[in-house]
Amino acid sequence: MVIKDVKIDQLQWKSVLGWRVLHKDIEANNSQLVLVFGSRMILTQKGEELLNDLRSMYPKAIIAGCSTAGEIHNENINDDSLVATAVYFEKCHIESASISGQMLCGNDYRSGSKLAKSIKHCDLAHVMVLANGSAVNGSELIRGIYHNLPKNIAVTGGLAGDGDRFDTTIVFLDSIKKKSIATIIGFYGKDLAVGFGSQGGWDSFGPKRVITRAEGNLLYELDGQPALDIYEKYLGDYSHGLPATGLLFPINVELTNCNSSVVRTLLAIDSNTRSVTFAGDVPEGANCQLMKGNLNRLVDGSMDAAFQSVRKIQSSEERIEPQLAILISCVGRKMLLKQRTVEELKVVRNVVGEECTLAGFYSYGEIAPHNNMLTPILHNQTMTITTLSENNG
Amino acid sequence: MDNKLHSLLNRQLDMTDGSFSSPPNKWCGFLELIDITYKEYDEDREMLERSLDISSRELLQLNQELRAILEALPDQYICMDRMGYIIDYKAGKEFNNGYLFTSNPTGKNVRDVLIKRHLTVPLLSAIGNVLSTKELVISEFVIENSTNNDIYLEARMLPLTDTHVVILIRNITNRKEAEQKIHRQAFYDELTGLPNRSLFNDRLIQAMRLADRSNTLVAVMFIDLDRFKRINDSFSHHTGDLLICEISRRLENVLRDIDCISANNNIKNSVSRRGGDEFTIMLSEVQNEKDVATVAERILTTVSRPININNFEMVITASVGIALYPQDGKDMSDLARNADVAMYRAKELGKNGYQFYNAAMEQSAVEKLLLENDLRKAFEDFQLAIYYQPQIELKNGGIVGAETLLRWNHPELGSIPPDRFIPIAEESGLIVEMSEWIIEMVCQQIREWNNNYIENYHISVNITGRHFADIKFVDYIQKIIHKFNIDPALLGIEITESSLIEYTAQSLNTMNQLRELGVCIYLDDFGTGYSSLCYLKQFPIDVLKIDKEFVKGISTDERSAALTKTIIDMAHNLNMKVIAEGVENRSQYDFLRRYNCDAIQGYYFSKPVPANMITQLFITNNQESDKGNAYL
Repeated sequence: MVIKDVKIDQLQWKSVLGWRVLHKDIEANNSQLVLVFGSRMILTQKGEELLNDLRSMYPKAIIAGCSTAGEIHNENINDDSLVATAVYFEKCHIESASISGQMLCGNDYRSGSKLAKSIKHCDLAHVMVLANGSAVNGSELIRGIYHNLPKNIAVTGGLAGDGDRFDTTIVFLDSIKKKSIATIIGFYGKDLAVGFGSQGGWDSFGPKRVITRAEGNLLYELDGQPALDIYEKYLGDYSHGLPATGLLFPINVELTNCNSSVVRTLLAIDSNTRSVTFAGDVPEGANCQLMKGNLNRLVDGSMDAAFQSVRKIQSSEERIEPQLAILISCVGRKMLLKQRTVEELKVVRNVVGEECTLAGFYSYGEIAPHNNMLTPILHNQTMTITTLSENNG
Repeated sequence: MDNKLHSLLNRQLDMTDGSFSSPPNKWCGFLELIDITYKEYDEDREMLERSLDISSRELLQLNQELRAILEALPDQYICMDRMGYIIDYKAGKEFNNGYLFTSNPTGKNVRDVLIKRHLTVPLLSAIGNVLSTKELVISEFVIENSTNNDIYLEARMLPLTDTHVVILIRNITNRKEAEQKIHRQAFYDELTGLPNRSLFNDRLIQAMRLADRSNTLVAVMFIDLDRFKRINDSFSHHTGDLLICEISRRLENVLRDIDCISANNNIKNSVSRRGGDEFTIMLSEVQNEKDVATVAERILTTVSRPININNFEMVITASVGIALYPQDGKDMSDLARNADVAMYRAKELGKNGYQFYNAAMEQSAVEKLLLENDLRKAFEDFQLAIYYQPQIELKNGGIVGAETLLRWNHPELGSIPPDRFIPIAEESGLIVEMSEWIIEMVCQQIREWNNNYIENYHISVNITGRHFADIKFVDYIQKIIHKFNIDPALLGIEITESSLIEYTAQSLNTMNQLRELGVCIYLDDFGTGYSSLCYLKQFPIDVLKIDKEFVKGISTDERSAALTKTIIDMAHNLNMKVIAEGVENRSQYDFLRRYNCDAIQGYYFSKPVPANMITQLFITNNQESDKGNAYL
């Protein structure tokens, strides 16, 4: 018999139906953290009112969240909803901070540094980050955060989404009005058990190309050809659906310095400069290759991420079962999987077990350590899973 | 609803007995989902097929480009796995099949298809190296082709995957040969194949280091062939080159013999050509000066052995200067300079000899340099004066002419004898200017005398062999004679026997032209050099001058007397007049007179005197002869 130390409530709000309790576990509403993932429309129009509802329900809790390209609760995906997941830890506690866009004038590394420094470091066990998905260079932000955290602290999280519109995303902490660009949530206490995993499942195809011109996450040229030309050629008639349809062809970028590669997904295009904006850095001089999704491989990737996460959470104590799994999956996967998207949630369920609550969202980028290193990077096109539990021993 | 459905779904519904043509409402949602699925899959397929098509075309184009590059390359191309199996192979345009692999090696293991089997192990180990380092490896190797010529190959090996490498093999024989040629040109003399100065210097540095460790000496010898120029001038440059090659071979042989004797030398002794007719020899690990002297003597002996070139037998000698490390110089340039100084000293001392450097030589060399500067200045400042030594006709005792001699009154050093400054003037080339000046002064003087009715005195001027052989010399004489309007027969040109021999061909030419002009030719110093009767017959000589050394002996030495008598007779038989030089006493005078020598010159009658005094002598002589008196 598993003793659950982490207690979870899950609620959903939809425009016609209003609030609906999906799951209720927490006694006396003494949750420390409420994670809120909702459609950008709802957050823009009714966000503040709904957060007030939650605050009255969970007065002691930190309320943090972001807009999405799809809200996940257990094996369900909704596009026009708001899902709140309230968490109560028996032994752990939570701290959080956020930073607004104006503060550091777009220097995302410094924003990350400032965020990392604005939470207490003593007893810190894990960090989650939610960041703006359209106005932030996620790679820089994460570097700034990681370099200013104590050693051995893993960072997971994701970039907010905006459906398939790639327009405006929202990140908030307690109030939407603050116009945050990123929120950091620190989990404290030696009894916190955390696992994480991240996997894509995309296949490279076609010739390798050299990134001949790029600045940060702006890709201008591949092999001397405008990047947008290549996308339009491959998409044909579907190119009018850019940037959304571009998600079907992410690129695999070979990192020259660490002998590994990352997947980068397209977020925006500029038909004047014929450039393409990616969700993370595309270093000049690196080799890259177009990728395509294979439905089964994507679902397998999701399962792999779940396995990694569970292995990690059980690395210190085998009896520990994940009690909350925060799933952050890329919008590109959802666009490709379509009706089968739910399958990538079901395989996670199979791995984490029936007792675990699934919450999360479809994102414009995922944050997790890369390969077997602790250094977090910004991923694209992955399923990234953070599992949480408390050690009851 | 039917019209909107996916065509395949429509047909499937039709096939299902038409019962779904108007499906119950509860199926509508379900059918709609299936319909969306069909359409989505169509779209996905379309996009995938399109991307497959585009990427295929892109890859095809890349492939064509690479193929074209491979075709354009002169290299042999091999793709090989780590076990040595050849996956892909292209023979390469510049490779005649059979260099490396048997025909059609694709699919086979290098062990079975490599013609040069000894290359198998190095090749496989290089492949292992490339795969582990993942870096380009370039190596060169040499094989023999079917005609036993060396073929230089360069293999560039690149990792293709974790298990495969690409090898490009290029024939770099031409490049290698060019490099070797450049190396030869940089370090060896093209004519003789001997090391050049640069390589010699390298070896010398090594030898000096060794000498420091072993507490021994290094000898640096400068060898200069004596009068080499006359070979080039008299024969041809080709003959000169052949002679240089022969001398090189002989010098090498000398060193080879020494090396055989002292086999313990760590650094080989070395001979090099410095250019022209100059050679250098380095002897390493020398114990003492005596050993070096022995080698120097052997060099002199070897060089002076007759050389037969194109059926001409010639003899050439060398002068050798020696500097020893460390005592005569701590570095290359000092040693070279000092050996050079010693070599010049050997030349000064009469050539065909060797000299060890010593500091005093340098002093004399410095003096010489200073003297050369002074001489140039003296010439410009009129410190030089022309003296005349009268010549007395023995038949009637009257003066018949005079030989001009140069005097230098140095403002500090006083009177400097001609035997000190004439060689310096010759070396510096100043002699030509000086000789022309004398000729001009003499002609002017003759004109002056003639104007004052002092006539019929023959004045001779000494000219060096080189100047005499200059093709412009006759023109100059003609011009001067014309300028002063004098009788050409009054001007005599004295030339030594040795310089005649040195510039035989051109000298003969000059003589014939002078003869045509009517200028007299005196053969000076006869009897000291070759005294070749052959020359006497061949050259149009007017006057033979018996050298003072000969004259010195005539009254005491019977052999000298006999020879002098013979020379006089012979000259008369060849229609030449004879003047004896250096007559100092009555008995010499009597002897010469008795044997019909035509004229004498010497202190017995008069030392060389300045122009005003010779003028006076001529005037007196005229008056005496008018009276019918002889001067002597």
